[in-house]
This record gives sequence, structure tokens and C-alpha cells, in this order.
Amino acid sequence: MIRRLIALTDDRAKTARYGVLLCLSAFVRAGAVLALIPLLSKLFSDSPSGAVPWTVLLTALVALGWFVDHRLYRVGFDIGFTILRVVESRVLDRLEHVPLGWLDARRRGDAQRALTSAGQELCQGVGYLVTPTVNAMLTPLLVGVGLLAVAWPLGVAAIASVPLLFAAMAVGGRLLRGSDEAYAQASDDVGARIVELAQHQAALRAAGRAGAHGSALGGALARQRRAALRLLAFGVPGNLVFGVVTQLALLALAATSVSLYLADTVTAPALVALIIVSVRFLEPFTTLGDLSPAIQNLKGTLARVGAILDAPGLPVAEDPAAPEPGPVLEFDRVDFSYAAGDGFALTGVSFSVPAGTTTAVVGPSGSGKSTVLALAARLHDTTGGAIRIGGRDIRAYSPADLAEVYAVVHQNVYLFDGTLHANVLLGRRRADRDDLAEAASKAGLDETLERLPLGWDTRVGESGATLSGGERQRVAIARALLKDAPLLLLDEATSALDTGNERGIVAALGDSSPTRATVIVAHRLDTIIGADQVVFIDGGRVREIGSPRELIAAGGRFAEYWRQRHDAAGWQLLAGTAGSV
Amino acid sequence: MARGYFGAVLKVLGAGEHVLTVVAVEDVTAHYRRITFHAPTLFDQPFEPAAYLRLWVPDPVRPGREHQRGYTVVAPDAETGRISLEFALHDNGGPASVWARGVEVGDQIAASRYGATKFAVPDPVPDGFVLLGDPSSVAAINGVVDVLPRDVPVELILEHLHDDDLALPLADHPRLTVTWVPRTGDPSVLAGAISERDWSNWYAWVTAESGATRRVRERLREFGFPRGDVHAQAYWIQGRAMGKNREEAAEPVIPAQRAAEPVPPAPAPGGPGQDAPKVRRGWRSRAGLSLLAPLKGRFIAAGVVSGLVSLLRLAPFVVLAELCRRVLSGSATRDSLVDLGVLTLALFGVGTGLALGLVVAMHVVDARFGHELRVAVVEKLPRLPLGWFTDRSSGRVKQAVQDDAAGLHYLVTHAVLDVVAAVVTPLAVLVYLFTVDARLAALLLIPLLVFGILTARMVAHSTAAIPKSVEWKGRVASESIAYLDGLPVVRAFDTGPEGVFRATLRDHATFLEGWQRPFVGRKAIIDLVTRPATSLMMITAAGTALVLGGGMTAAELIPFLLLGVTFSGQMLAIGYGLSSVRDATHAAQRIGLVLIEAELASAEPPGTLPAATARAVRFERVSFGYKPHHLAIDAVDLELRPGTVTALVGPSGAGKSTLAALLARFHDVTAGSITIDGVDITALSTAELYRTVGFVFQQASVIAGTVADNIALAVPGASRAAVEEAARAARLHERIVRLPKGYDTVLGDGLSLSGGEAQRLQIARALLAGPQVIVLDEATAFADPESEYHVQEALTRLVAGRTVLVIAHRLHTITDADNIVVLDNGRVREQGTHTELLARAGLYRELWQTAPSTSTALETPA
Repeated sequence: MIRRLIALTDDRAKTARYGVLLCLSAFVRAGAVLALIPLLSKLFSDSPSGAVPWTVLLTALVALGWFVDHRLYRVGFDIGFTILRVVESRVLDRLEHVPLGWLDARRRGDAQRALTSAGQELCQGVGYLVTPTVNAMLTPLLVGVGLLAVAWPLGVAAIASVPLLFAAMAVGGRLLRGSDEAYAQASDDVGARIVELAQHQAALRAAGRAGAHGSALGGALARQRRAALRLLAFGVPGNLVFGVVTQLALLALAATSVSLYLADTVTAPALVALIIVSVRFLEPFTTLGDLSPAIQNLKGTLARVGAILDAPGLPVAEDPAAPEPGPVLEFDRVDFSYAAGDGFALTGVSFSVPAGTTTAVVGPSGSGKSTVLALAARLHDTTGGAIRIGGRDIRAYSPADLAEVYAVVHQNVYLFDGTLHANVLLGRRRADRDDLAEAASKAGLDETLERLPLGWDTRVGESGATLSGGERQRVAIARALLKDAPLLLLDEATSALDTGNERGIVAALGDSSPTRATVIVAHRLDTIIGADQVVFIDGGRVREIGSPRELIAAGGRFAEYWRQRHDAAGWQLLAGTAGSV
Repeated sequence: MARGYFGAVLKVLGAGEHVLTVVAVEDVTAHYRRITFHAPTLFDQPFEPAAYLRLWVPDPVRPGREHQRGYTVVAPDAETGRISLEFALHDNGGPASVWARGVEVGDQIAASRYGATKFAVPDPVPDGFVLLGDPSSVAAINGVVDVLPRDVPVELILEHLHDDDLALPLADHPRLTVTWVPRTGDPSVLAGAISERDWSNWYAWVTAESGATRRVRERLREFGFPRGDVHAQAYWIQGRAMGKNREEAAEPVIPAQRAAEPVPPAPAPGGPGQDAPKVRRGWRSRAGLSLLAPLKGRFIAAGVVSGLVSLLRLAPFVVLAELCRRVLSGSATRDSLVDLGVLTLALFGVGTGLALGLVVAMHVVDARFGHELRVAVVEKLPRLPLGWFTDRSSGRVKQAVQDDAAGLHYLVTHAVLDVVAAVVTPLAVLVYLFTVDARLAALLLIPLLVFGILTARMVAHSTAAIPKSVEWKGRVASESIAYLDGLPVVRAFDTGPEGVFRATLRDHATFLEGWQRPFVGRKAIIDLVTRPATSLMMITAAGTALVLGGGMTAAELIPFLLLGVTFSGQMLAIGYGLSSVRDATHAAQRIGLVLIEAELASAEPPGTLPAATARAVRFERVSFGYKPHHLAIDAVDLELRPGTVTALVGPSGAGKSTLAALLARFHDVTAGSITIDGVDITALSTAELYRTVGFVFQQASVIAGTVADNIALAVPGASRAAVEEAARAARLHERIVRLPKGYDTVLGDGLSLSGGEAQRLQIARALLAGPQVIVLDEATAFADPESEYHVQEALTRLVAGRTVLVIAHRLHTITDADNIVVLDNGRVREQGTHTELLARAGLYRELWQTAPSTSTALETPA
């Protein structure tokens, strides 16, 4: 944990200073506790005035402790603020380079937490948790060593109790965590079922499955209840073990001191002093006990951040074969599976897209169309075969170079809470006003700009909330056009682009440049018919390839697909059978 | 400047001081003056409704002395940096009144902003607000009225001191009723003006003269107002700030109506019942308490035992102190020391045993209580109108059932025990130490004082940053979701050091650092002052001095060294314990609110439908509104003849989906009735209703579970053959057999169906259940258009031979319907067949002509 934190800090001098101050602080604290022995021995003796110099020493040590710890706080927070600045940026670095398949639902959740709260948690963690924890671990050991010199049996007992106390704390913590986890698992299940119940309330109610009896939620609730009772076996000892061991340790230390007194090894005042020091010796453990849940949280945060930072990136091949001039995009016998052991999502897919042409990838849902687009953007690596852009293997591009050669319009339009201008400008940061205006006009964004009183300076709101779905899509298209990359990847999002005057936009995109190659996952018939080439995919394999008119004339799979789509458009509820128009 | 004790306290607590310059003076009435100030520095913090300033007004008699008076901020304007304050002027007024009387443009006055009251409308919104006050609080009351929801009644009862007070401008509110009563000097006049009736679920805001406020508070308590539903604060004290008591003859109460709209004759549902003042329905805010009421006895018992355990935990230290005392006094024999050891072990054993029993007992209580509570909530949910769910995100529903129940788990199993322990331990220590030596014990309170002051200062300096940090948090959260959703696009457009999201995160970090860094030093000091070493130093230094000076014996120091050192930390732990109890009681409150929600009506015993193969459905004068004053469905008459298809069409927002939802009893009609074969649907059991009426929703629901479970959702005992038959009829069978485990494939986790497949699944579900009436909400767009064809085939099979109500979004699909009903603004505009309606030149023809043409126009290339 400490190593991970140091790695994030990346400033050896600062961490070294922090380490030195931490040790110094522990020595000073231990010194103050040990100074109690002569102080109290004198104070409780017949000549209490002898205690004065020791009182002065103790006061001086506590004051020195203030000074050291004040510095320690500053350095600790300095480190914390450094981590705050660095950690999110590093997480982003990693997220931009992992295969997209790595980012499953759980890791996505972790990544989101890492981006929103991890920096803050780690920053505070160093100052408020790491410093006092390390301090509380070192101080008792030092006090124990000091006691060896004063009354060695007590010192031995003290030092021997340290591992016992740590063990008790660890065992208690583990038992509590174990019980919490078991309970949390049962609770998560209930939580998921409740979300389902709320989201699908209408359907569940209509099916008579909305209550607690005879429903999936009812079952989950019963399991949760059983889990609650079962975890008593963990929770009860977990709650008590540390407190019991601490009290036993105190009794043992007191008994050791008393036996020394009874054996006349120490005087009565010294016995009192030793007992009081024993109590002080145990005190940091209570602090540790209080801090340990927070420390566990911090560990969890670090582990989540660590998992992202250690994620595998997509490797960049060292020495690529010399680029050969060729089509803009070429799939060469590409096989792909999302995870080892899974079946192939794509098998032996080959096709090429020359400059100035548009290829429509067509097929039933689940056929692998979107996978083709994802591979072309290297969101995943192929399992077999090769993908070449401009004659060069896609794996030989650095991420920055690859980002240069393609533009993409995706179903998920990425808009950040800034102005319309800034959002479109992502396409090409140094674009001038004329370029912007041209891209906006081609994307059909003119009307939107006129409608909005602030025009380009309108803030789009959270995820573009102030724009309609179609407008968001047009912003994405304008951005892609502005980029003017040799390869354009389009996921024809049917929902937003289905209506009215947006019809022509997709087609216009495809034709607009003699040097650009466009690949489009197409649903709409007029888009498909306007493409130069159709790649018809089903079951992860290319079934037919050719111009749309050729394929329709050939009467194969694509022609069948075409007929069904065509009939669906004229369907009537009561016409008996579909497609009888 | 002499500002006395309060001035010093405010300064210590870190309240900043501002200078206000008078720019305008306006006399609203002869006794009411509005003064406008220029004070740009005030605006570094936002102003909340009814926020007030602490004004430092000069003493009229003793120059150099200043008094602090709170004044509500009126019309703060950050642009111009101006605010106004309103002053009631009195003949024998206090210093503020005197100052306001003599004020001139250009005068300056100092003010502090610290701990400003703010008014937030309670959640859930009360049934009404009753506000009581007088001219001195009119400004505050106006601030409150401004932010009240427009649809709840507001009763304003004000005392007037002068006749022209009645002319004071009051805030506008459509349901405001104002009653003026003359101030006679009798403090109970205002309280007497509160009418006797059921005030259940109302909220009271009282800002009047001290005596009157007290009487009002008493009166409200008699009416049953819970403490949390009353905000009472005296604004002035008769005879102190405003001169002597004036003796005036008591006048009768003259109610003066001033409402933009007459008071509604009948109270809205939930409003006070005028005719039955003695019957109280109680306050929603008590919902949480009543939930916990059955546990009260157990809580008390647990608290007592927990206190005992805490005391037993201290026992070893007390025994050690005794041991030390005996050793020092030389009275310790081996036997007596052994006896002490045995005693300690015994106490220790008893303490541990009790603690063990306590933890077990509370967990067992909680396991039962928590489970019953969750089941009660889950059973409650299907009885609520569906609108309850649409008003809340699924996350909020989950919070009510799961997270809040978990919060209660903490309350039941830990919070009571922890709080008792947190309070008993330091208090017992303090009492014990005070009996040993009061001087030294008092010394131990110093670190707590320092802690309090430093914390207050930090809070004062954070008031501006906290709302900003909340805003940042929301922004970073939503942008990180957008970033992760859009990662495929981000990689093409927004990577590297210039990334926009990266810059946002950088700005966030800069904000956090700018906010927190100045506190590092103070937080360090808090820790240094409250740490055990500091207490140890104080005890030894003061103790040595006292012992040497003969002020105490050395032996008396021992309890301090054993127990006093960790005292500060224990005291601070009380705060943490209390805050967790507060969170948990809020959770109880939220759950309680769910449990008292109004349910859909149910009939006892439920009616039954006559046996029939096809059903007729009749809507008679059906009206329904989501909100009391706005009808979404307005007197609709409609008949669905057995075995026919009726299509609902109309512009979006016309009420099509709402009308269909009424047939499903997702809401209950406000007026009129819906019958199936002559039986009112509210008389049917839900099971019977849903056996008869089936639904195909626009958004198909897929439940976590196997495909077979999903199809058999409404018929859990269905055979596999029946499930397969339904899937075949819905054109889904072939897709299912291609899934990894066929019908046993678990949907949800990683494996999901496309939109069209989910639609067919839903149709299979309806086919299997075999209802005689189908409500079909047609999907507007298909996520995967290629399966649209199959969905259409499945739908055609589903509707055959049934009574169908279809919500049509595309007109061309329902041109053959037996009856087309055109809805507009919740009313039936016209109905008939496609040909009839087209001939009529009404709304239908208009819709038909403007409907987007379909791609039927696209010619199939040969």
C-alpha cells in the first residue's frame, strides 16, 4: 500500500523527508511516554521536587512533538495534493490505451469512482490516515524497547504483546469484513432485484409478480435475512476480540509490574509509574482500532486505482513492415473473439475500402457489424489476421498516430458540458471559423445554431442535455467532418437520424471527399442503396459482398434481407400477415 | 469598538465583517422604512431565502458601543452589489430603530454574516404552511413565501402595531390567506388567532415578539405540531428592545383577506378538514418515529446495558488507580493485591459477557425487524399508483427499500449502543475526575474549547466553498460517465494532454487544493491540541505544580494519568455517534413515508367476471389528473367491443398512454369508471384483472433470469412445451435455440437481447398468459430495424381474436382498425374508421397529411 502511494507521489526527496519526520515523530512520542517513568517515580517519592526537571523534559518533548507533527502534516498533505493532481491523469492515460473489452461493467464502475473520488480520498488518506497509522504502529514498539532498559521483564512483556495485539486487530477486522461482505452480497442481490422491480414495475405488476411473495425479490429478501443471522458467527467475535485482547494485555502488563514490585525489584513509586506507562503504551492500539476501517477503505481505493494503472495496454508493434500503398482500410482474414475460450465473433473477415468510396456493413442484429467498426478503430486487437490502414498494420500505429487517421460517429455521442463551439472543435483544435462553418453546414447544424440565441457559444449542458437527440448527432457529424481524416467510421444511429431532413446527411458524408474512405454500419435502405459496396455479415462471417444492386439482383441473403425490410415499412396491424401490401 | 461578548465570539468564530453604505431610503409606511445598501463584499457567499445579516447598530446613548441586531436580507442583487433591509420604526424604538430613523444616504454601517438562517421547503412538501409574525418579521416572511410551492395553501397571521401596517407589501402567492390582528400587549393574541382545526401535515414558521412566539409555540403543540415542523424564533422582546409596554384596549380580531384567488371552498385531499377539528390524521414527519416505536422498549433496555458495559470497561482503570493508591500508602499486601486482580478479572468477565449478549440480542432483533420492514415496503409498492415510480428514479426506490433499511440496521444494531457508550464513557470519567480534583478536571476541557473554536472558523470559511464543491462533484460525476460511455469516440477526438475531460479534472483538483490547503495548518492544530500527549503534558505540568505547592496529593494525580489523557478524544467521538444516529433516523423517516403513501383502492371481497371468450371494455366519463388542478384525461367515453381493435391516436401529450394506463390500474380514475363486461375494474382483484388484461409495452422489460422464466413471468408453472409454443408463435424460438443454453440461458448478466428480440419476448409472454384484452403500446423506433419484420409478424398473431386497445404512433399501421379514437388534450376529438375520419376533415386528416412518409416510397431496384 505504502509502495503504491510512493509510486504515485513520484518525488523521492519529499517521500524521504516524510519518512524521516514520521520516525522522528514516533521517537519523540515514545520519549515523552518514557519520561513519565522518572517523572512519576520522583513525584510519588518522598522528595517530589526531583520531578521538576523531568516535567520540563516531558513538556519540551511534547512541544517538540507539536513542531515535528505540524511539519509532518504539511509534508503529508503536500504529498496528498501531489497525488490528487497526478492520479486522475494517470488513470486517463491508461483508459485511453486499454482494449475496450477489458473495461467490463465492474471495471467501468471502478474507473468512474477512480475519476470522481479517488484523488480526494487518497489526498486525505495520506494526511489523516497514513500519518497517524504509521505513528501508532511505531510508537508502542519504541516504548517497549525503552522499557527493556528500565525494567526488562516488563519490556519483554510489552514487546511480546505487540504482535498479539496486531493479530487480534487483524483477526477482528477480517471477521467483521467477512461478515460485512457476506451480508453485502446478499444485499446487493436484493438491491438489484429492487431496481428491477422499480424499472419494470408495470410489466411485473401486469404479470402479478410485483410483491414479496412468489417473486424473485421475495427469495432474495429471505436469503438476505438468513445471511444476517449467519453472520452473527463472524460479527460477534469480530466486534469483541480486539477489546478483549487489549484489556487482557493491560492486565498482563499490570500483573508483571506488580510481580516486580512484590519481588522488590522496583519501588512503590516506580510501580505506579510503570502501570501508568503500561496504560499509555496500549493507547495507540485504540487509535489504530478506530482508524482501521478507514484504512481498509483506503486500501480498497488504492487497489481499484492500481488495477486500472496496471491494466494491459494495446501493444504498439516495434518495427512494422514498410507501408505498401493500398486501400485506405483493409481487413485481411480477420478472426476475433472477445475473450479467450469464447467463440469467434468474427471469422475470416476480408474486405477493403478504397479512397473515395463508401462501404455499408449490413446484417441482422448480433451478426458482428459493430465489431467490425470497433476493430477498425483498434478498440480491440484481432485474434487472427490483420487490419491495415493506408497499407500499414494498425498495430504499428502509436495511439496518437492512429487517432489522426480516423474519425468516428458513434451511437453514443460524446458531448462534454462546454460550448457547442468547443465540442465541435474537438475534431480539429486549430480549425478556423470558416472550417467550422463549413462542417456545421454540411452536418445540418445551421438551423440549430440559428435557433439558439447564443449560437456557437451555447453551453450544451450535461451530456448535451440542451440539445435534441438529432442535434447531438449532428454535432458529432460536424466534429467528424471537421477532422477530415482519411477514414470515417459511422454507426448509423437509427433513432436520431431516422427523420426528416437528416436523411441526406449520411449519404452526403460518404460522397463528400475523393480521398476519404467511409465505413458505415447501415440499417436504412436509402443509405445501403447509396453505398458503393455492401458487406453482408451473418454469424460473424462475410456472406455476400458486392454493390447493392448486384446483390439484390443475385437473389441471395442480402436480397432476402432487403425484401423483409422493405415489407416491414408498409406493415399494417390487421393485415393478417406481414408484407401483404 | 465595544461590541461586547457576542462581537468577540463572532470574531473568534471567524465571521467576516462587511461595510454597508446607504444608497437609498424609502418609507413604505410611516412606520416602516426600507433602506438600500451598497455592499459588494457580501456577495462572496450566495444568499439563501430568508437569510439575515447581523447588523452592528450604534448605541443611541453611549457612543462607541454597538449592538448586534439580525435583519432579513431583501432583494439581494449580486450584479449591482445591493441589498435592502426593512426596519419597523417605533416611537420608543431600540437602537436599530433609532438608527434607521436618523439614517441618511452615504451613512455606513458594519455587518457580519455568520450562521445565517436559511429556509428550505421541507421534503416531502407539507400540506400547507402557517406563518405567524408582525411587521418586524414581514421581510423574513416574504422571503419564505417567495420560495413556497405555488400549489399549497399558505396562511399568514400577522400582528399589527399601527393601522398603516396593514398596507405593508406582502409577497404574492396564489393560495395565500392573510389575517391581521392588532397587537394589544397581551402575548396570547397571536396564538388566539390560529383557528381550531386539523393542522395535520402543516408546517409552522413563527417569528414574532418573544412572548407571543412562546404562546404560539404552546398553542401549536396543543394542535399536535411535532417539534420538527415548527420553526419558532423570537424577533424582539416587548419592553426591552422596543421600550415600555403600551397599554391599549383589546380589540376584536379583524381578519383581512388578501388573496389573489379566493380560498378554495373545500380543502384539497390532505388539506385540513374544517368540520372535524378533533380528528387528527397526524404528521408525515412522524412516520419514521412510529416505525421505530415497537422497538422503543428494546432500545431503552439495550441503552441501559450498553451504559453498564461502558462503565465496566472503565473498571480496570479504577481498580488500577486503587492499586496504585494502596501501594503508595504502603497498605498493599500480597493478598490484597491478588484480591484486586481477582476483582478485575471478575469485572472483566461480566463486562465481556454482557457486551456479547448485547451484540447478539441486537442483531437478532434487527434481523427480524429489518426483514419485516423490507417485506412490508416491497408488499406496499405494487399497491401504489404507478405514478409514484415515474416520479422517482429506480435509485430512489432502491434507497427506500435497501439502503435505508441498511441504515436502520446500523441504527438498531450499533447506533444506540455506540452513542450510549460514547456519552457514558467520557461523562463518567469527567464526573469521577471532578470528584478527585475539580481544578485539574476543568483544565481538561481547554482542548475541547480550542477544538470548537477552530472547527467553527473552518466552517465559516467553507460556507462559500461547500455549494461549489457539491456542484463540482455532480459535474465530475456526470462528465466521467459521459467520458466512459463515449470512450470509442474520445479515443478518436479527445486523447492526450490537451483532452477536455482531463482539463476538467485538473480544474477540479485545483479547486479542491485551493479550498483545503489553507485548512491543513488548522487541522494539524486541532489534532495536536486534542491528542493524548497534550493532555498528558497539561496533567503532569499542572499536577507537578499542584503537588509541589501542596494543592493536591500525588496519589490524586493517578486517576488523571490513567483516565484523563484520552478524555478529549472520547468527547469528540460523541459527535460522530450522534451524526450517525441522525442519518439513521432520516432513513427511518424515508421508509415511514413510503409506508404511509396512499394506496390504490381495493375491493373486499373482490368481484368476479362472468365466463366469456371475448370481453367488452367500457370507459364511462373517465377523468384523471396527475396533479389536482390539471386533468390529463377529461370525461372520456369509449367502448371496446369484444374482439375488435381500437386505436388511440393523437398528438404527443394528448393522453393516449395515460388512458391506456388507467385500464391497467396503474393509476385510479379521478372520476367516472372503467368496466370489463360490466364489472368495475376497481372491484376486481389484481390477479383477476391482470389475468384478463395483458400488455405489450413500448419498452420491453427483460427480467434477470432465464429465457424460459422471462416468457413464463405471468404463468410461473407453465410447461416447457407451452413456453416453446408461445416463443414459436412470437417468432422467437429460432433465436432462442441459437443462444448458448437455449431456453435456460440467463439473460441480464452480459447477455442481452436486442430491442426487437425483447419485443418478441414480451409478445411471447402475453401469448402464454392468454389475456382476453390486450393493451398494446406500439414501439416508435426499433433499435435493430432488421427484426422489425419479425416483431410485426408476432404482433399480428397476438391481436387475432382479442379485444385490443392500441396506442398508435404511426398512423399507417392502424388504418384497418375497427375504431380509431382521436385524442387531443385528454378529450376524445373524433372517432370512426380510417375512411370515415379522412372524409371528415378533422384532426385525424391533419395528422394523416403531416405524418412523415414511410420508406414505402423507396422503390425496390430491379
